[in-house]
Amino acid sequence: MSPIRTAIISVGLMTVFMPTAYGKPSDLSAGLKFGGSENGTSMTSQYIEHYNIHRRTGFAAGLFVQYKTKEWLAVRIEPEYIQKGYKTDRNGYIAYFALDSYMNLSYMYHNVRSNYLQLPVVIRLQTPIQQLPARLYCEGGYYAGWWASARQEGVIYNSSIDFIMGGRSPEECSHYHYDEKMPFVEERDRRFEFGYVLGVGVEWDFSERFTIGAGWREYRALTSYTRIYDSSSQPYYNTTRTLCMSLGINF
Amino acid sequence: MKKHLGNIIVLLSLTASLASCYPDETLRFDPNSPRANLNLDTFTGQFKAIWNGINEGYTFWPITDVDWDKRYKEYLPIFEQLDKDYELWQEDDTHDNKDFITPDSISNLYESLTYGLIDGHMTLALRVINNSQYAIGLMPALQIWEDENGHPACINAKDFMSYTERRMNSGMATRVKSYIEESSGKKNHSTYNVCYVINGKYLYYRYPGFVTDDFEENELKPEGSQSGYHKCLKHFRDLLAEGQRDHWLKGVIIDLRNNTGGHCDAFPYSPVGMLLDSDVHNIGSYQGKNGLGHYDLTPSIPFLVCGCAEKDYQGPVVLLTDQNTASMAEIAVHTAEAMPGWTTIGETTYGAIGGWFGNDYFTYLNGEVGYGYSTDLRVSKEANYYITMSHIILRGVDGECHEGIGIKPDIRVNFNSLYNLMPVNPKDTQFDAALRYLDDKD
Repeated sequence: MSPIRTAIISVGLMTVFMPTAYGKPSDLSAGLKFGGSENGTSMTSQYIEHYNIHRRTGFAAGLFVQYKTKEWLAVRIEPEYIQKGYKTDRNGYIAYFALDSYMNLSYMYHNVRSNYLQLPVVIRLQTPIQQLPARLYCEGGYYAGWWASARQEGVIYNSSIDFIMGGRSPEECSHYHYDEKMPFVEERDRRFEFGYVLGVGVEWDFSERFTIGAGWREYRALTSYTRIYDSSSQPYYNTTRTLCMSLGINF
Repeated sequence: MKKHLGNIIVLLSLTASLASCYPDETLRFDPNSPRANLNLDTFTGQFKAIWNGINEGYTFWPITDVDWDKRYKEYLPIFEQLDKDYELWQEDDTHDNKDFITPDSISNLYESLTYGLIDGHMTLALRVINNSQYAIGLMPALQIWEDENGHPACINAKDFMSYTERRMNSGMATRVKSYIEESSGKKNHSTYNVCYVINGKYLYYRYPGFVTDDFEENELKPEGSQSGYHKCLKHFRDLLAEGQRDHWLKGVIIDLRNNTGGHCDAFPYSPVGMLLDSDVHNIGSYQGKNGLGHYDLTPSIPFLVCGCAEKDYQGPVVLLTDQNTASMAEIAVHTAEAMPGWTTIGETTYGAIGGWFGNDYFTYLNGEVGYGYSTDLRVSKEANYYITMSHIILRGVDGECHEGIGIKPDIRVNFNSLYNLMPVNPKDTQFDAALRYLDDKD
């Protein structure tokens, strides 16, 4: 099943079941959260030799509003900023026929940091045990994301000067370092992202008004961040994990 | 509520299970190691491999409007039919139409397949039936000698020698040094290097092509054993130094008409490189590919050149260009755009800039896309196709890519075949314009 179709069906099911999570509003809280993110892409290196794709870490922060409908059930909306992206690098040598030698690739890398604005809506199931100092919870829901901007940073081989100058050994090749805003290619890149999110965590009411918590989440995109613009282009999906602290006020 | 709780959990786990495994990425076909299922001994297999190689290796997709998928659909049946026909004809040796499959007919097919792809350096070599091997130039030939009326369309390589003679006879050109390759008594006019002083104050060099000739190594050789080409270049360098020292030099003309390029590493010791110091000069930027997709390009990387002089020449410099000025010569024209005091006079250049650094050097992030094609037919018996393509999109200081368009001169002066053909006192209008320009500057 294509991810797009999965997404459509999921939204439909969500619409049917979401209202059931609302009872009469018994408790409202709001707050902020911050922490680290880690993102990976489903992109593979295909047949490219000595080319590695890695997950990359980043930063995430946001606000949340929570309705507690039951002691053990809550609905949360969390507008957030989250860093995604990936890292690639090369290792090893490739044959360098002209000089009957090998060219070292290990200095080359290309890192992409994508800035996303997201709106997850999750349903949280939590332990309603009053006796314990902390509450455990698990949560699940959907999110919509907007790829706001991206930066690319890396080192590449500047071939122009080497060939103009001629006769330089592969080890002396010019390294060109770049760190710049990544241009958004309308034909290739898709800004909108939709997916589902799952998480677990722990919360502690350290006073009547304030709650502190820590949680782990996994965001899995159901839509590709690249478009299918020809017969050979492929969909690539983001998978993001976050570990966030949250600070909430109970109204 | 409890029954709904069950529903919610089911819903979430259902979504999770649907999405937990993303569709497997289709593995692309590696042009470097043809897979067994792609029989390269057939026209269809070869076509698929070449289509795919261009699909992933071609750099100019973002500025081309060719629908490559559509081309695949259009041409696949043609090649499939060729295979069927060939099989039939092999069974029936007497069939006359067997001659229909010729290198020429296959060339035409591939030329029309790639029609509209801007890349002045794209060539294709094939090995097909009977193990015969041939090369296909996918771009129109350089050296357009005649216009549609049969008149010369631009200056001919042969003209340069007669111009030199005339200028010597009239006393305009002095201290002349020239070099031309001869084989079995026949002069190869496209190797005619000539350097002289004009009117005692300008330096002129006709540079026919960027030929690598290790200048420093040649310098060490004993006086008599140096090549004529080297002596010409050295003459230019000596006059340049002398003219600056004695203050008679008022300008330099480098004639790049009919210069169809050559090797990058000839640049520092070319007449153009001799006007630049050995520091790097930024003459624009380039992008290579950093992925297999059409739009996967590296960031803009500065395009750098350097010369061999102690310091940049400060006087006015004129580069003469025409429609046969191509490749490395166009990189020289890009240099002129970036250097203050340099001017180009003549016609719009050919527009085959490249750069083409040789497939071995295609070491951008995706590296091996182009590199694989260097499995040259001459080297490998297994390979039966070989594509060369430009590896980069080169942009001048104006930020424009001139591939397929050509670079417009600062001062446009057309080649005038009427003047040029006059039996008495023919005129080189473009050269005259350069002289007038320098006279005005003086």
